[in-house]
Amino acid sequence: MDNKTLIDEIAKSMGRSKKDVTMLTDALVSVIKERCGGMDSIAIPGFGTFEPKKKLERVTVHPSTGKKLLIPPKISLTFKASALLKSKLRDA
Amino acid sequence: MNSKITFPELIDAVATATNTSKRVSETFLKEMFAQISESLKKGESVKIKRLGTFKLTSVDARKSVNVNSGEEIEIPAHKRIVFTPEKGMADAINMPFASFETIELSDELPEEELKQISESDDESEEIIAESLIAEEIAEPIAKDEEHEEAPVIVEPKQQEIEEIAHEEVSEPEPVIELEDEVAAIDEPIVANNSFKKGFLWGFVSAIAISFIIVSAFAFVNGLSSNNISQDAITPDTVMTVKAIAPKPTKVLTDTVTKKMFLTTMARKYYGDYNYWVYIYEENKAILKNPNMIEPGTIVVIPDAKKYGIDKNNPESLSKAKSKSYIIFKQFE
Repeated sequence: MDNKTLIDEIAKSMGRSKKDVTMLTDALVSVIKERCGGMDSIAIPGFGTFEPKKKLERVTVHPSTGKKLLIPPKISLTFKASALLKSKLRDA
Repeated sequence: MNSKITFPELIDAVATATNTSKRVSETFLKEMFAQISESLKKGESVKIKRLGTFKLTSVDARKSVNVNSGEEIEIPAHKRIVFTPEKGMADAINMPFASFETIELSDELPEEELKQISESDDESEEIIAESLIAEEIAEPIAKDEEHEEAPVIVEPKQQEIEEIAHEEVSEPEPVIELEDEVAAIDEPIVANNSFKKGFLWGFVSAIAISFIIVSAFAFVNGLSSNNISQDAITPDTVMTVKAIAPKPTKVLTDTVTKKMFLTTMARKYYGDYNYWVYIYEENKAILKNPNMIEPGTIVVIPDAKKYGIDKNNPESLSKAKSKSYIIFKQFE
């Protein structure tokens, strides 16, 4: 399901315009960006948790050139599905 | 920082950001995640603009152990949700570390390690060189590898035989001492002059003479005196043989084996395998194709001075190389 159909579906079930839903979605995304950018995690009951995780620097070998590379540390946004969502998927 | 934002907080945040009521925000969020869950349940992936993609990946069944009971259990094959943030989102999250870049480390190897690497390289080159030589002079089938022994100087062997011969000669003959010694002295000279045949003849004649003498002596004297005089004489006669034998030209020889080629000999005696051509030259009469030398062939190693062999002289080296080219040309 792409972004457009998702907004369509939500708009239909909420009885609101697509424009409103798009605005709400954008707001949600910017809230996640803002809070996760500040190393906060966001827990959504029955769905899962968005959590920024810091990954340490590491040394790897480039597979084709064979050169050693020092990969710098970084923060990546991870999502962990909740137990409820997992069980829903399992039953499906 | 590092705090967990709960659902009500999220509702508040969305509501304030969109200037809508908390109720609208709440229903929206609930509907939103319900839709995503529903879609994932159907097995579809869900893409949200500017946030990222939720995808399903299948996980194979695998065995595991129950942490509490220690029983083996099988985790059945299932689907797992994978979330991939969009680039803009990932960059925004990674903002604090955005300035870091991947660094190549290849040039920062310590010097010792580099040395070791270069050394091992040299070794492998040498091994390659040796194997090349091995290929250069391909050896036909040979089963005996005992010929590995170092070079043999021909003389000692002859000398030994001569000694034995002489002992035989002197053994029964104490009285006609002078004759005997003459025979002994004659022997090596003959051997040296006309080599094998001469030696053989001398050997046979020596035995024949001594036999005649013995039979003659048996008539004259009793055998009782033999033993005493024998002990006294043998060392003397042997001494004379020893003194004469080593004098003639020292010919250095070596045996071609599966592992000892002309090239290996050249490396051993002259310090460079390229000089094998001179060993070949010296033994031209018995050698034909340098690539097909029978193992067990005894070759003469010429003196280095004879062909001006000097491994430190590039001129002599290049001369040897061009010579090898000529030799190989003959057998093409």
